[in-house]
Amino acid sequence: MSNKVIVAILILLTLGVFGGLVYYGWTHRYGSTETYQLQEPRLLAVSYQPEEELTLKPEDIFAEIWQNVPSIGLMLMHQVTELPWPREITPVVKVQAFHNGKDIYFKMTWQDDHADATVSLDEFTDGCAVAVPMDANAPVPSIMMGFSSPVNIWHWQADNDLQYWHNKRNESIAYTDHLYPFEDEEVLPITTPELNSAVADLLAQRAGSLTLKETQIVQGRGQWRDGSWSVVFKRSLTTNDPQRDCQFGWGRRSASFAVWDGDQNDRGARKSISEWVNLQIEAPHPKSSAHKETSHSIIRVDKTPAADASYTNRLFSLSLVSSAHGASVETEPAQSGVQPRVINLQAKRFQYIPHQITVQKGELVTIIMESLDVTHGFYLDGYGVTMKARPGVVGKVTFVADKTGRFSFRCSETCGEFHPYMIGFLKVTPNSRFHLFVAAVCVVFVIALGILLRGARRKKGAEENAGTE
Amino acid sequence: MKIKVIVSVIVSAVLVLACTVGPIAATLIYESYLTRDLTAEIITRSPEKGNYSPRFLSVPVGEKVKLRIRNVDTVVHGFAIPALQVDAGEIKAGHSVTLEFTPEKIGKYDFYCTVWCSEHHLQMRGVLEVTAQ
Amino acid sequence: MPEQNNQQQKLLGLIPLNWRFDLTSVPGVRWLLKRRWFPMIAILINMLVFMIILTSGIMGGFSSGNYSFGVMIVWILWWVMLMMFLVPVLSRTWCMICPLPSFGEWLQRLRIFGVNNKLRGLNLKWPRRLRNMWVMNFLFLGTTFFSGFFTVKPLATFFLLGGIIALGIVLSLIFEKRSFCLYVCPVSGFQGLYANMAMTEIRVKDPNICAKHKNKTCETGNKNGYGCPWLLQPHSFERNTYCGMCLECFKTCPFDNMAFNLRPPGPDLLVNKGRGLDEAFKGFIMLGIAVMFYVAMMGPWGGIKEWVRGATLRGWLSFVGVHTVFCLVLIPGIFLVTAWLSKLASGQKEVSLKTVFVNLSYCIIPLGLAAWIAFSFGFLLPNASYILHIISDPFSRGWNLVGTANFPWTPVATGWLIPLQFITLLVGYLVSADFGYKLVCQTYADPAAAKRGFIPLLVFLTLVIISFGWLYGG
Repeated sequence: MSNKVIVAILILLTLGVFGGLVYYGWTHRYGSTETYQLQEPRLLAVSYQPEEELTLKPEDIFAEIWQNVPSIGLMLMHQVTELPWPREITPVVKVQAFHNGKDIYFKMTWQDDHADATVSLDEFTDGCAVAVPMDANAPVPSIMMGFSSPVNIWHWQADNDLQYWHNKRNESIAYTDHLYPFEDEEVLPITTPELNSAVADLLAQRAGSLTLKETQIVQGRGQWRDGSWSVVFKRSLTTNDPQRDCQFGWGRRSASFAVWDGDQNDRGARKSISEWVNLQIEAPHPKSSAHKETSHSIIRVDKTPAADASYTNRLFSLSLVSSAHGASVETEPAQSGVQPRVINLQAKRFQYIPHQITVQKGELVTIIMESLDVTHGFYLDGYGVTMKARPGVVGKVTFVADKTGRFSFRCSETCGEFHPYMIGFLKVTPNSRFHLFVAAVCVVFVIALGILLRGARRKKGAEENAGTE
Repeated sequence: MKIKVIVSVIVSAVLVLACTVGPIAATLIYESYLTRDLTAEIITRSPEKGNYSPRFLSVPVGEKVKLRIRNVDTVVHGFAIPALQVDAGEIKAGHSVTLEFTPEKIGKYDFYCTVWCSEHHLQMRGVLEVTAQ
Repeated sequence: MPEQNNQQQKLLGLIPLNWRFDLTSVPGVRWLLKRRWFPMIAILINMLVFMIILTSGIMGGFSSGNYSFGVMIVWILWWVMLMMFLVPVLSRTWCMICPLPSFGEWLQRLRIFGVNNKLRGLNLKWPRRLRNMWVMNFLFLGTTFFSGFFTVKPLATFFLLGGIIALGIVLSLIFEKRSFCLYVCPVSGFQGLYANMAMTEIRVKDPNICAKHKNKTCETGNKNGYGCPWLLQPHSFERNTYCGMCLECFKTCPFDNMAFNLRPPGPDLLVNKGRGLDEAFKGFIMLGIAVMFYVAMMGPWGGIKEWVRGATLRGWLSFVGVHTVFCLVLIPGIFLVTAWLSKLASGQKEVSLKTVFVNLSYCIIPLGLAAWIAFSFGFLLPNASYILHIISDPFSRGWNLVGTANFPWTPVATGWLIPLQFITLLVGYLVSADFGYKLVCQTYADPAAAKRGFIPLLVFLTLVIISFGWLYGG
């Protein structure tokens, strides 16, 4: 074989081996070749039924209209992002909804062998809830407790149902173990509020912010029959408080559902949850006209809403829920008379917003960090302070800015491929290190100039060093 | 003279092999030693990157199950089978957790990611089926 | 004569630039350097490490780079070592122990330790027009376009290193000797340029011996070693740029006339031979990359990170465009203005602008090196603790080889990062200004003209260093 042939073979061999390795590496870039088809959210048609009006009499729960309204069966799953977790779950809930141009109705039906409507030390009540983000176009799927947009949560409980509709007062006092262990300043009201509905109308943004609204406008009623619960919710489509109430317009928005089973000691975070569902709310139209479902099922190219809606019980944290996105200013308890400067920081892959914080030397600084996507951390160079923020759970750190200069803060929780480059600047003014540096450079510059000029004057013409040709 | 040449050729070949194929072979041998009694390995990826792999696992009832959960993603994931009281806790990117448990009841058990890892986090789940012997 | 000039010159007026200490005068060193197995055994050990890097890269896929052996060793340990120690102190010692071209070289030689001066392959000559740094300049710049992938994705690191190895084999089969290392390897170019600042060199001890030596065995090779694989003339080395320190000339020289010298940093910058626009641009590109890397990797600007990591093609192309214009147009343009002003101030009409531009450009090498060292501190201090994890668990499979797999991420002394960077920059500025003055004196014959011509250059250097200081900690 000639030299050239051998060389050609070797080159082909080299390229072939490299190409093969590249192919293998590329196909295994996510660890295995197995792929997953992302699931689209289920679609629940909320049809327009102009003549229907339910007053929530017991027979309304099983009214004929519910046979005509489309239903979907939602597979439920364990709530596992927050402790405590449920053990056994309610596997399926059937969900239906319609509106009559004035009110919107939801119905949830699920199997439960035993109706639990009393609460005591070791007895828990059955319940269910609907969660609706306030913002119909919530940009990122709402995470814990309504995260990118506040959520309305309508929480029905069997014991409240008993008390409200049958005036049977529940004797035992409230239990408190359902609370999420997020915020150290949470206030636990002990009094049970006066019921004016079987459904608690709640507002939340982020974990630990669940609040009972001042005006309770959701009605609901449950009936347990033949081993299954049926619960109907009713609310007006629109209200006069758009800051706190979800306004239902026509078109698509998301919702999610949850079920508590008292037999399984479900309460608080211990519940079965659904994924986000897309509600397709039908616009009012003359009933006679040919109704075409397709006209309303134009798929918008939204990000898939998929998120956990968490709901809770009758005890409500009193922390303010700000409906403005991202504004999470909290009033700090005064520390030795000094009010800290509160800085709200948002963290997302792979940046902090704002990217640069400027404070003055000696200031007491509190940084409240909120994550917009996955868990992010915060490590401040020089000061060594750290914290972390999970989606929906803010992180907080307080320190005295006693060192001057510019310091980087870095993400300390691996958050994605660019995680090592996720950096923000904290500037503690005056930036004396930089001033010193500039001064040093200027001194060198001036000295160099001085030498040049003096040398030029003194040695004028004296030196005869030839340069290059 | 000839022996010397042969010896040097052998020494060179051994050295080169040891420094090229050697580490790869050692890796494979050590890895198969470490994983000798694993029931299965589950790798974790966010749903948009492929989700758990495998997402369906079948094990016989009453036998010890040893799972290695390996996070090959760039974010923190979790692994838990709430119905069996099995929880691996947070598994950081690039880390692995080995779990041992013995399922006592036949049935299908969902396993879930317990850490908010992506906007599709809620889809990150799979099924462990416990079958009769 | 410039060479005579050099001998009188002192670094910062303190250290004479012609000071040398021959390391081979230490007992044992010459013996070691003359062994046939010497660099090869280091190459083999290095190759072992690189095989682990490649394996972890191909197995690591798109997993987290900060817990990947390949990414961390290459971009934290190797790159930082290269910038902070190997190049500025040991010149191109990395090339001495680099395993990447070895497969190709073994195929040429069909020997590993032995000598066989009848090399295989096609042994073509490298095209004359490409016998400079331009290919390396563009390849290196091109490589940095993908820095948002290489430095974070294990698989991308595999593509890069595997690609270099494959290209090395292919080019070694086609072209003679180490043409690949000399004219193509992207890592080679900046090492060559910055090695001129290095504190070590390989030179002849006594040029007179070489002058009498008719049969230049360092070029042709003999039974003890190969003729210079880097296609140089070891008997007349003047600059470190292209010397890969393979130590063959130590073996082939029958008079033991080669020396491995310690020296003060930078005398090669004043060597007037071999200068060119290619090396000048290498210097500008390195400066530009230092800025872009800092902005992308250590800056707080999330939008630019989105560009660099290729979140959208348009963003990535914008990054490529801005980066290219910055490195190839903006910085050289500003320097061209400086050179023009310098020429104007000096009043020397007979010196061409190109000469001024090229000559003076060598004074940004100390500054660029300082910028890179300062940048490397920012890489090293926060991320070094990952190394403890990855040596225990190189393939992210739950191993714990030396018991440090669960060592948490611990930034080290990051509070001192910015002061360290400032000090580094300041040293670079001093050295740059010093060499700038020497280069100006070399360019303009008249000392008074040189002094006038130095002022624009000094202003340029001052502005550059203050800009870097502002970027790194202002």
